[in-house]
Amino acid sequence: MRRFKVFWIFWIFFLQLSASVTSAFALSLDEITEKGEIGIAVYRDYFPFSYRKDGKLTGVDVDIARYLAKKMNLRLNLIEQTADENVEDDLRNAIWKGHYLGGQVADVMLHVPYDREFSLRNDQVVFFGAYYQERVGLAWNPEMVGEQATIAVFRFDKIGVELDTIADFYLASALGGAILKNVVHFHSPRKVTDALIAGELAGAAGPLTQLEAGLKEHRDSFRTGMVPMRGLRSHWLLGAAVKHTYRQLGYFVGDILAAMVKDGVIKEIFKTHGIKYNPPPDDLLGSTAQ
Amino acid sequence: MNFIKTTLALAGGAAIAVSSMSSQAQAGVTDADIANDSKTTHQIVTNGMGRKGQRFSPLKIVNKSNVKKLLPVWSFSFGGEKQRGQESQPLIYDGVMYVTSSYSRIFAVDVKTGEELWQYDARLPDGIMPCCDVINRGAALYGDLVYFGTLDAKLVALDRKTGKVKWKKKLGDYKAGYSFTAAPFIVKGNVITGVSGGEFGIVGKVEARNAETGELVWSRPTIEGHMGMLNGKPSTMTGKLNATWPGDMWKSGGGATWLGGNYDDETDTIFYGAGNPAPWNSHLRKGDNLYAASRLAINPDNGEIKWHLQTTPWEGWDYDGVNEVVSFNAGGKKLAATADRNGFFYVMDRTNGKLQNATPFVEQISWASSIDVKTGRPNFIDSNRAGDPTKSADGKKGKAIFAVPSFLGGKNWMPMAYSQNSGLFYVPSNEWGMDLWNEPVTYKKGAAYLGAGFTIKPLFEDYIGSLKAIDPMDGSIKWELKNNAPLWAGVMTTAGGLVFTGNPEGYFMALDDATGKVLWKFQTGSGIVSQPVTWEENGEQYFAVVSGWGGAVPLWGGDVAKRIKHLNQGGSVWVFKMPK
Repeated sequence: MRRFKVFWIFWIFFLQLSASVTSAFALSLDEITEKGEIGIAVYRDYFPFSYRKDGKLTGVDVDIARYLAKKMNLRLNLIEQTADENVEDDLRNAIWKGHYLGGQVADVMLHVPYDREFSLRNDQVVFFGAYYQERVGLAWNPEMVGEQATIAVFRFDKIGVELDTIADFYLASALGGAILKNVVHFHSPRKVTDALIAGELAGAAGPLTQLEAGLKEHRDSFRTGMVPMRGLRSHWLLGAAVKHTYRQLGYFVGDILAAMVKDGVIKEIFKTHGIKYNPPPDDLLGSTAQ
Repeated sequence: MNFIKTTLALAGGAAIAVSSMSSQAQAGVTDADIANDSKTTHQIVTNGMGRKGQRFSPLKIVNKSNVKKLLPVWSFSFGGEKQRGQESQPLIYDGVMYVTSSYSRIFAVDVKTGEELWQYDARLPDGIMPCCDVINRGAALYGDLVYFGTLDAKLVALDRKTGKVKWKKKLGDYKAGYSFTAAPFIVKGNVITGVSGGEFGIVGKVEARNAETGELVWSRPTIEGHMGMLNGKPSTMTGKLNATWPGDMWKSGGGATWLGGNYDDETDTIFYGAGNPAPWNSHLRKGDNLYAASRLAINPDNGEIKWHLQTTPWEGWDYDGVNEVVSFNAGGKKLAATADRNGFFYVMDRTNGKLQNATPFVEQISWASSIDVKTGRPNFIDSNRAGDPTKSADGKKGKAIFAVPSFLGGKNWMPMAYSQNSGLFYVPSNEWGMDLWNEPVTYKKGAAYLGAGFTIKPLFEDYIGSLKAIDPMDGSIKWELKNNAPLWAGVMTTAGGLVFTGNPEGYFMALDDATGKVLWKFQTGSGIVSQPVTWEENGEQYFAVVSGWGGAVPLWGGDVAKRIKHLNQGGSVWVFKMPK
């Protein structure tokens, strides 16, 4: 009897342990298929990729996540991830450990960098499925600074940028600091383009996807272009990531993403959000960053 | 009995002619209770055991010769699945202990039995992202209300008898990164708070709200260019626009007021510290960046800044200027002292902020050679500032510098104590530095970014933590108690010649205030990163300390992790006394 009791206690302990494992950690491909649901993390409040419009979650990454779940014939559990101080933290919070405040852990995270050096520093996750290339550029109002404006015009005219971004770093140091006095900072990329449309700024700097999506129907009244950002990275690749123990899931999702790029599905998704699509180089499709 | 106590307290309140807000003070904690908290021994109604924040008790029932007899009376668990860092200071009033805990919880506990009377758990929204653990540093009492701040930046006023919410006010938008974890405090019928926040985009402020209604009375932003508020109208601008900030960088200049402040009634001044300027890259904001990394002396009636002391102008190492300013009188002068994250111990004339002396309290400080006492400015060592990341044109990792102290500071949040018995300050400090380099391959919210890489490194093989006894008259260090793990707990001292503190290894300790010798210690079962207190009841002296390892230290890796990874979490209050 006593022995039985001890066994029973262990059994209960085991049950609790396994229950907490399934609720707290992301699952393998088999388990996901069995459960019929996949958890995909996207950034919270991240225009134009994953943001709320009239309370509804929308954006490029949201559409990609929906397409992935449909292709896999699974229910989609979209998890909005609040950005932490850097992407290392986000990966930990979203897919390989979870945040200490609780909340869900996702099976897959979208919109993570696809970068060899970065992946070497993050051995808890596997990066794969590069689906677009982001570029930093300028948007400007040709009526204020002319069709052929360069960065030099902003020694005389106001230029907006999202605070504490690589474009912000660039503007602060460009032309020996000569345009710093004309830099206007905003807390979100959408506020930058809103001010540009309203005529409060002659130009704006930032990721081109954000500038284009923000201008949307006013797109034709503005010009966009790249800037030579000496010493700073002006373009980078974005893809997906899973926890390192779920490579199998990564291969599966990676194949679908590669097909989405090749078949023009991603391009179409970008188009519905008013953004020109810039694909990753051909030779990257379907590979992992390590 | 209770009636008599209240009546006496009211009489005391009338005698020192407190504010017109006394309608509030008809029941419960009065202005007189708060004003006399450093002298009265039967209760603790302020954070800091007196509003000057000296953490000195006139009690000497327990002294150097009998302290070894201390035994636990009861222990109370915060329960739940939620543990992590417990940094609170208990308050004791009318037979009840009010103590906050991790995840924005507060408990009322029967002081005699350790039995819970009520518990309030703030409902925290999804998606909050507090910077440094889920701690709370304590509550304030006034009238029949008890006040505390939450991780989603609310100030909550509860009925102290029932734990029911009387009012709740938003101190900032948690979605923008604001939270509030410091202990609020009461000055002239107002409850005073600051804000904690993410590392960029927010601007620090000190605010006064009517303690009865929660209505905002004044607001004082800490960064120049921002407009203050008084009675619903704009008052004056903080500083002078663009005097020490380039372009519009002041708009999001940081200066978070994430640690509490205190109040000196002799000079009628609120002291509050402001955190580091934002963004982290100092090359984007050349200038002193007032009033980030500064101590502010504020007029409690209108929120005007009387004077300031900026400890780290053009801050570039994450040396927040938030640490407590402790008022004391010595040599016929009204003085105040503060031990900065940057490793220097400052003593100033608290009537005007004029520096008396500034001396290093940790070893091997690398960013400045000394502080110029005439101007109050540091003599920088220019080669110890991180380079401009945009200048590393090859896109490679920048040159690493080794800066001391580390960004967690010569001293972090944990409050020091001043003894009227020994005339010394007891300062919990840490001996560590950091490798700091520009990291070109970093990402933030899915975008390439120029980050900084850092690794905290202990300076010595055998210890990081160092509790020091400092003579404020010349900055000399009288004794030092070394500790393997970093010290993260507040200190308290008594007229019995004792210094009390705890360590991450879990010991609650009593030290000889003259020699630093450990006279007694007790293992509490988890690390101590909180603020001990002492009080008296029926001729017996009681002690209380919260136990529960956490806070900012375990969140950072590097070589420090090795010394702390075996430490277990917890969440409880321990109460001690000598057996009869």
